[in-house]
Amino acid sequence: MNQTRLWQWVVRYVLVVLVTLVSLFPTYWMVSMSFKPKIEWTTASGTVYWVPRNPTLENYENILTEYRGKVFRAAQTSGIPAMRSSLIVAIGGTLLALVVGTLAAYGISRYHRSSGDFPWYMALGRLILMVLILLPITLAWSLLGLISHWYGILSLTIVGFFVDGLVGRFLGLIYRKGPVGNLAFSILQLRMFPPIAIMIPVMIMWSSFRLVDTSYGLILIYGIVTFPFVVWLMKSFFDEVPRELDEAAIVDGSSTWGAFFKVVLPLVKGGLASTALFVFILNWSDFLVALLLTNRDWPTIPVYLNKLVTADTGQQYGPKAALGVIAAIPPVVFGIMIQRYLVRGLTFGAIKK
Amino acid sequence: MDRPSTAPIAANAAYAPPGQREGRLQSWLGLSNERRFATLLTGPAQYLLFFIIVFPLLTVVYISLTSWSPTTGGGTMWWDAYKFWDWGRNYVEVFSAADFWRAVGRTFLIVGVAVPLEFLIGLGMAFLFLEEFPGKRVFHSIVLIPMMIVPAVAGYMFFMVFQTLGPINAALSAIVGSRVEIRWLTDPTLANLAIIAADVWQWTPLMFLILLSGLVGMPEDQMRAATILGASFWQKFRYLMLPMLKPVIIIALVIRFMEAFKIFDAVMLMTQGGPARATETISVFMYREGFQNVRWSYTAAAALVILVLVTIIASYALKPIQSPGENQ
Repeated sequence: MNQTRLWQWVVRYVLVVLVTLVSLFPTYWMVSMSFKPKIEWTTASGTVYWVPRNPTLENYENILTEYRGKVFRAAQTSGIPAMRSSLIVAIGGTLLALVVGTLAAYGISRYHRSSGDFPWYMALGRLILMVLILLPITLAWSLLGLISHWYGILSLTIVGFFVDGLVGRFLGLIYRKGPVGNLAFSILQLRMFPPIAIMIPVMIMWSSFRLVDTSYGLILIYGIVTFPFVVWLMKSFFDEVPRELDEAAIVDGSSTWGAFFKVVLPLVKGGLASTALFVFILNWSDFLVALLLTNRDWPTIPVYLNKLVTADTGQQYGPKAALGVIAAIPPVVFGIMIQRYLVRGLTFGAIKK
Repeated sequence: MDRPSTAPIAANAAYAPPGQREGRLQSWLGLSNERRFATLLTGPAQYLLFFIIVFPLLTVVYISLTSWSPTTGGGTMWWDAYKFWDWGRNYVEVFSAADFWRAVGRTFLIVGVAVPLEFLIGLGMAFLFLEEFPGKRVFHSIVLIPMMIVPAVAGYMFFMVFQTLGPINAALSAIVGSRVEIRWLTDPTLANLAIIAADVWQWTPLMFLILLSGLVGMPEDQMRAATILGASFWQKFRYLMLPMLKPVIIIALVIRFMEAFKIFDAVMLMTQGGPARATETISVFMYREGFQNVRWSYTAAAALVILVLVTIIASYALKPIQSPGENQ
């Protein structure tokens, strides 16, 4: 009995260490690469450098300073502007997503009752009906010369808002199980759609709002892309606060807003903070959107990493690894801080431990 | 939310007798205080959602029916695209484009290999971490690091690791005894394997976390009873754990499927869809057609086909996520 337990113990430890090594190795390789001088970057010299033999800070210096003839890179700038823009844009997007998402989450948690449980032909029918009704309106807008301006796009969106409500009610009459269309569910469905598929119209919209390659543009799109996570996460936190609390506050004479701000919100403070960090990680990690919506002024770190070109010397493993290390630090630190909530965030609040 | 409506503000808001508490105009508009409050709360989110759905959807449909793109037609703007109207030839092209369907098939293949692998490894890891052992917390934190790494950076890590002159080949050389020079990222099959490896590396921790949370929540009494009755580990797993874990497993698989379906960053950083489009997924395909070849109308048509596909899949796949939240 004792021997089998010892064996179990040994096997468990060997497996745990193995798993840990595998999950650590690529990260370790990048970190060690960032300290290696050029000769140690590849095995071209015949030996493999598992640990940097002559550790150097040259790579970090390269990435943090202006072009000085050592490395030929994108626009010959240092990585600092990219870091600054990543930071500003990720924080801005997070704030926007938090404000919009938290309000919506409270609304959904307290006032929404439709289940979103409808078959695919209803979901599709809703989209098709909406397009059929709105296409003539779009045409009218473009004949009126409105569509080329930002206010044309905004007003068209508002019209679409009402048309969608009508379509939802109309389909609800046919389907007879309540209105078809549910905010929370549409939000979730949106997450499944590859973002690149809507990037063409987004680029059209953003250029007509003059938002391409600006921080505001990225903040707006990041807010839109990540607020679904806030909605689902915060909804799961709000659902844990008993309704009786807000009711009691209202009975005691507080307004509905007061009940929300003074009673409920302080109770989910912790949840709000971890949601903020979680969304920050998501925004910080984005590559695709920034790749398409920025070029010279506001490239974020991943875009800069992708652009960091090499001319005469081949792949610049060292400086790129240094940049990768810098990019990886904030999300890893925050991620470890909010370990408990990572699952909840990434499963849209469906799993709460 | 099927609790009995003891909640006057929430559940009964819509049924409050009109004109009792609010002004006449408000009640005529159907705007009770609570409904107005609810609308104010969800309004911005709803508007943003429509902002990003309605106009893009309309534009995509419109452009997809023409042959317009920013570089063709001598500076014609997108709203004048009707001058290039061609009655849906793009759709014919999409449906007959081998490239597109290969990208769709490849995406499903990558998802179909990577997600089950992540599931199996994650399940194994969850069992490893189920019982207490010294140092568990530290190992637990380390094991989670991959999922926190920026995906583009993770792609670059694997780009370095899978270099012909990189550490994987060096390790293989050390094992074999002679110099190994496998061209991981320039061989069509191996490049796909490398991408799957990167995805598995990055996202197994998520599977592990979800499954571990499911296993930890398992009622201990039943486990103990089964052990006392002499059930083997396999029997316990098959007849006790699996049925109880089922909802968690479904959620884990659905979430991973959803996200893996969009895979882009790692592919771009590792192979850029190459060699010769051998690793092109749906997202990379659309990036290449839309933003490197600048064929916007064709890409728009492809995007709509994907939209229909995803809507159908999503309405089945997302149900398990919807329900646990609703039943709280």
